[in-house]
Amino acid sequence: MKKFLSKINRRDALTLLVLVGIFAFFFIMLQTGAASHQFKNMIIPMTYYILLAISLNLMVGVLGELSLGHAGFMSVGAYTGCFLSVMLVEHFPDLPMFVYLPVAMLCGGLMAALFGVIIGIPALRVKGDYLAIVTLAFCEIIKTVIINLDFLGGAIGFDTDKIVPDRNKALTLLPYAAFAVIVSAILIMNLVRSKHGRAIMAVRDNRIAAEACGINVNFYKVAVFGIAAFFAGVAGVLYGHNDVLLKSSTFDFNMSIEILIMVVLGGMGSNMLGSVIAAVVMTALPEILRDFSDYRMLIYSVMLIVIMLFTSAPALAGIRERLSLNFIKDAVTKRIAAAKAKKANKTKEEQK
Amino acid sequence: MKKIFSLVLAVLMVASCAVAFASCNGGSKALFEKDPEDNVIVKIGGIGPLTGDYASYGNSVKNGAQIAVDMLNESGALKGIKFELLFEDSEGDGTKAVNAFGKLQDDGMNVSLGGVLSGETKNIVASAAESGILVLTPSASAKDAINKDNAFRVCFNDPQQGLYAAEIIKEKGLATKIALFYDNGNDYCKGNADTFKSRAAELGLQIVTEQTYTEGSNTDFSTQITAIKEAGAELVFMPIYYSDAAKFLRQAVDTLDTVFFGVDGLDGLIGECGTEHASDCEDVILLTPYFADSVDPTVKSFVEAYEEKFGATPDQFAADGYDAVLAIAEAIEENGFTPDQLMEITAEDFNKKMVAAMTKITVTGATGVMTWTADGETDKDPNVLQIKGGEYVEYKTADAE
Repeated sequence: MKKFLSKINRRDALTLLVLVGIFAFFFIMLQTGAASHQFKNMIIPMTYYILLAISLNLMVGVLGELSLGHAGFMSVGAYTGCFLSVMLVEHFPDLPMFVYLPVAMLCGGLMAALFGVIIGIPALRVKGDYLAIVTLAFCEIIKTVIINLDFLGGAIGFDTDKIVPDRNKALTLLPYAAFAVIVSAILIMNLVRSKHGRAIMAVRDNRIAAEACGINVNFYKVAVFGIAAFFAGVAGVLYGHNDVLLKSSTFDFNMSIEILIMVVLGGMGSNMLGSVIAAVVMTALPEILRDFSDYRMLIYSVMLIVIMLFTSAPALAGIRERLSLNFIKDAVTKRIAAAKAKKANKTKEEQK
Repeated sequence: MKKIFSLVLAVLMVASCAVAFASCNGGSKALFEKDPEDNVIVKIGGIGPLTGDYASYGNSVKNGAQIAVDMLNESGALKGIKFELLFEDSEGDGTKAVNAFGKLQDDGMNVSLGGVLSGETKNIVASAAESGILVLTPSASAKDAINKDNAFRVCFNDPQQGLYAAEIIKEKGLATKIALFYDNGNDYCKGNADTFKSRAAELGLQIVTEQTYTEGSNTDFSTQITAIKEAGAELVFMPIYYSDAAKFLRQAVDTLDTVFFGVDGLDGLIGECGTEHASDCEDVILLTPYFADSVDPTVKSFVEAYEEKFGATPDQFAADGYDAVLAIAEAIEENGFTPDQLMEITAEDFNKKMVAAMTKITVTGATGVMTWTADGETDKDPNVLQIKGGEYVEYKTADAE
């Protein structure tokens, strides 16, 4: 019990609670029909962006390697999973969705993981900015290769319209999306908490020291590449099933950077809650701003700058402290301390 | 105290978000609204890239459609019925286009202009199948972008253009050795090139070389130009957009003495070349249903109104947007809707009747006289034009030889 309530466990439990809360909110909105059309269409994108953000956070925040190739992994997953789904639907028209969608997700994820490992091995030689460029190049290579593969639709795009014939797509896909995201979040957070997670963070903090301690740096780097790519691939499968047309040009470095912004905005590191919230906010924000029509993108960019400054500028630390929710925690710790003191006093008195 | 205040603020923010996303179409609200003068407002919802790489297309469609809406409202062609154009930005992205479509549905859109680009339109059409709303896209040309019963388009589809181009080259005896030059990362270019290739093969035209480029490599075309020269092509078929074409022609005119032949994406080439490089695009032949210098009265009045309002010459996309709105007005007229009827009609009925009317109407617009088939394709004649002295003229065989 004591272990369960340790600080790190509490943090992860809160993340899970928030995730469950978000999905419960989505479900209620969809089931009761209270969701507007715009919101309904945003739900699945929000879920796959959550998945993308936490998996990239594993790479950028926990392993400490800057990757701009996340959209590339996502497209590998999307094409693999959707291709499989289309094949299955064509050849076995009676196959229910709860069979082929999880299979597609798993295969899409595995294929992306394979590519993650393949790109991870040569990437061992480079780090920092150089690695960012290597991953960026990988993303472009994937894009160009797919454009030239005619069986994947080439430039015209891969038609995924027939996979999910249901008219209320958001409600059909949400259970799968919610399941995928929650399971992935649990796996990623457990990994970070585990012995391996500590090894990965040791690699981030000081590679030489970690190596001297007997940690296999190369193994962990490649493994994290593979794992992060796996979840990006699963997110890609969700993307492909939600959209009706996969175009490889969508998965360019702009998309990678969009995911990176979510991670940076939410706070890089082992706390996944920030990434989750940032993913939801960043997906919703441009849509909420639609009412400003012409000034939308301007306001959006200004808001990004303001949020970035607010979360990181040292001069604003005072305001941050005042606005933070830490006072709840402080109050609770105070209470607990007071209760303990009281109890201690009591026992003391009794002893007397 | 401040902390509690901030907590309250946070809760309020979350609540307001929830309210903003909750739909307000509870109960039986009439499909249409009325303006202060008691006219029924038909809301036309357009989506297209207003920012990003393809912003010029989206803005052209938006402006063209706005001209049509203004004209219809001023002339009072439909008694007691006014139009309103709502236009949302898609940034050229399918997912965002679907969000925009949802936003338009929430705003009470009655007829959709689909999307400007093919990919986004396909997503919108899939999303629109649920309500069965009429989707009439001005410019989405990919073959299966409008694969549902309620979707139509104003422009030609890509295969149609490639087909026409091959036939015209054969018919007019322009060349027998042809080089293909296109952006193979772009669905419009590739769709055109693919059908051109198969049709050319059927007609006995020889494609001597096929040179491609992508968005990332559209500045230096010297390798492609050399290859085209070495292959001994007599004609370069380039189903590409005008901005790339201008760059290509500037590099190619000195080396290649071939005929240059394009499709409607080349509209705008004269402006792109400007007066300084006007000689680059001299003699280029293109196939397009619309050109701004036409003497046709419909085109003339459109071009004049557009130039007056936006200070620019309308391009193909603007003309498509204009025609789409005209077609919607025509479909309402075909149904003979009166304002009173519109106030009582259900969304389902209205959508069904509008879709049904599309195959019956004939519209004279800026891109020609159009009718529609049940699969959503338009039937109209392309013009074969040639650029002569910075202007489009009707192409005549004698000039080429």
